[in-house]
Amino acid sequence: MWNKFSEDRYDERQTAVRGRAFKWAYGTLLVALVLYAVTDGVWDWCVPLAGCAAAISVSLVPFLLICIFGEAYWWTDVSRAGQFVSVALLGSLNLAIAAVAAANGELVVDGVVQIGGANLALGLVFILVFIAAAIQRHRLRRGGEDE
Amino acid sequence: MKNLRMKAARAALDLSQQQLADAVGVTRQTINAIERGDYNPTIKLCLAICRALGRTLDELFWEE
Repeated sequence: MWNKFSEDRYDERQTAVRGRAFKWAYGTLLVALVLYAVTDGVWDWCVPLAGCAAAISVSLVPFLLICIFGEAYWWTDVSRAGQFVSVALLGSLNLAIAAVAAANGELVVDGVVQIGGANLALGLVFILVFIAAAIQRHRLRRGGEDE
Repeated sequence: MKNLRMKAARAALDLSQQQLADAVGVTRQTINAIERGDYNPTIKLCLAICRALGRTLDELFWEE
């Protein structure tokens, strides 16, 4: 099971791309967490879990974009269609949960973003992954076999 | 710098990028990046490509 998610699934170029992506994600996470800590100290704008989820989501953006456009995200021997559907479902589900929370008035209470904010952030990241992957897929198809 | 010698050696064997990639255990995009000069492969991958194409390291990767 663990082997399925192992870095061994990537070739050496993909591993190098992912290393660069991890570096950017780590730096972004540090900046995002500091920003969250500073702004939350000034005014209480979200619950801690939502703030952490937002920081993690922001740091995932450079990681995912570098990996996707560097062709180092999808496992080569796994159905891409299945991965597209999974990402779209996860994105839609998270956004739906956030929408339900917003409709019930539970997303923001007294100016403080509640736990639904975590779903909103994660949903947006999954949708971003879907869009970026679709763009990359289009670019590769247009490039043809021997670019 | 583009690696035209590798591309020519692959074409001489009538291999696609995908077929060469499968033979050496990498993705097609990695072969494409090497041929475009966007990625410097490790010696391990260079040797695997040389074996797959029946050429020497000098013939494919040595720059004068």
